[in-house]
Amino acid sequence: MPEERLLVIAFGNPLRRDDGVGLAALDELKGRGLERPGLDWVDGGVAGIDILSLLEGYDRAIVLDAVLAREEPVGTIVEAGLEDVRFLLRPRLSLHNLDLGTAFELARALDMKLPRVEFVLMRVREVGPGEGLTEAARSALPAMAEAAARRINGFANRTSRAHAAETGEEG
Amino acid sequence: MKKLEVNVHHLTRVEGHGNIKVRASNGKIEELKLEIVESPRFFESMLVGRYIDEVPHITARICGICALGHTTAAVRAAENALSWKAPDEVMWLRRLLMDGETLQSHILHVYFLVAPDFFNVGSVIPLASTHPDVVKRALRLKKVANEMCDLLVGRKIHPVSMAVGGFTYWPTKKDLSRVKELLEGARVDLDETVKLFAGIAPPALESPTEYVALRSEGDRYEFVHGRVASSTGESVEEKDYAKLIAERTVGHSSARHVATKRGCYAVGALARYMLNHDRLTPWAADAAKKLGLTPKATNPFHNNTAQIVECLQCVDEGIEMIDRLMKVKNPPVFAPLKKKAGSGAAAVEVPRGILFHHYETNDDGVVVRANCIIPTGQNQANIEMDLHRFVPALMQGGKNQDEITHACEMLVRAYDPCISCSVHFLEVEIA
Repeated sequence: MPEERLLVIAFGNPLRRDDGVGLAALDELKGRGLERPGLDWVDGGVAGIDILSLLEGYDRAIVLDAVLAREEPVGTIVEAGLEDVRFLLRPRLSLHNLDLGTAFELARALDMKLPRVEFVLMRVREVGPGEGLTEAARSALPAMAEAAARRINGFANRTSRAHAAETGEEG
Repeated sequence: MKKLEVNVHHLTRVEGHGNIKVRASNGKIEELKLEIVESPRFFESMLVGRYIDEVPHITARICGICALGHTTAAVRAAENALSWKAPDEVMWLRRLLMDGETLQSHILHVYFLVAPDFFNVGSVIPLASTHPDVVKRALRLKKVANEMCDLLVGRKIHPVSMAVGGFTYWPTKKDLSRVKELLEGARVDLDETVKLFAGIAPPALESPTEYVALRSEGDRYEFVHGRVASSTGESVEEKDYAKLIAERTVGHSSARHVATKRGCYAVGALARYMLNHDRLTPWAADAAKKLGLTPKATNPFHNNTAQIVECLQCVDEGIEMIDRLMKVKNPPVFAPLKKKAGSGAAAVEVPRGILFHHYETNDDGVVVRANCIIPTGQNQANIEMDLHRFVPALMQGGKNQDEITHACEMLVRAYDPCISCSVHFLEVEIA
């Protein structure tokens, strides 16, 4: 049985304050010793449509990104599957920087095979030009990384159980 | 039509936020503005106080599309400030990277932004349903460029190994062979692209203007290094760019307008074609012929035609660069450059046109002044001039308000404007 593959992909622009929380969470995750066969990390920057090619060949993907806060407090962590998320398209549709919602819609329209996609998002408000996260976002960063780490560990446990079942070894 | 009022808030299918406002009466324009309402770029001020060799890694994040172009411009301006000349091998690799970035940007623009207008659909989503093969072709070509970036500079999205003083990682011959294979493989899809767009006539508009683009002293269709040339015949060295163009602020836009002493001018694929058409490879020149593009063109919609021609040019040039790089026996060893006080400017052709970066450093190599002149700012006044010519013709042609509005949007899109600094937050509802 071929090895399952998981991609952790972070999006955001670190020059736009809390828009960079996904990338900051990725950095935090990298320091937790989670590396294992089948797991890859990608700094997706501000790419949009590129996600379709980035996801090719993976069985699962975890997307780390910022999500705009409305009434919710900044720093709230949101976990959801692709099927739970309804993307609110912004009034523009910029295909050079195709937003993720449109990228996934395009994949559906083209009947493209996608891995199972899960989102670990942080509610943010301050996305104007500037470097560094706000205090509220920085404080919530460990919780965001923890949520992603749980999912990565869940993937690893499932993979090793499947391996054990296949080889007859105890897990 | 006696009265016309076009009020497009947030142009669709352009990068960033822009508005078009046109008010006309009895065939005469009373008010016409292309407003750029994005917040001003603060990147230049972010660069002040940073070491010059940090700058490219910051500018790579200015734009999600032109990351390599901004990096190349920043690296070259920094090297000029530090009085360092890159060896040929480094310049070949930079050219190859710009070929990849230009290819992917143009493909996305012509297929995803422009094509929906010609297929009479609102966006790429219905296009994917009605013409899936067309959209799949675009995605295949886009992937070629992503793979190139990954193999050559270590990341699919933002380059990491391109640095002030060369490359911190030099691609292996295996990497280069793979990139060559990818580019060779793109030829079939690009021939199909030419065939597809040869059957589509752009809207009619004659709008003569001045074009500004790089032209090298050699025989190359230039993207990375050369003199800053005007279609009037004037040209200056890149360090003297301010002798040819000048920036000014205008009330209705947060992007600065730029002009030569003769007035507005255009940059981009069409400008490059105008200044370098005699240097196209036979394959690209043949495509220009099939697409009806000639050096006499005055229709700004041909910017999209020139973008297609450049895709072929970039594949040919990219393969030539790989052949040269494969013969390099001892790749240049990277060493950080000695920091010093200086001033350096660089001009690089990014997909949307000529991009200038200019830095001044102090004795410690810290940036004390930074200036970036982006292509869309340079095109803005020219777009307004085109609209001044386009709208009355549309009114005289009996077009209604909606048709004129749509045509104005198409014209702005033809320039492939990029008027935002990139941001990526999502807006979603969770069930």
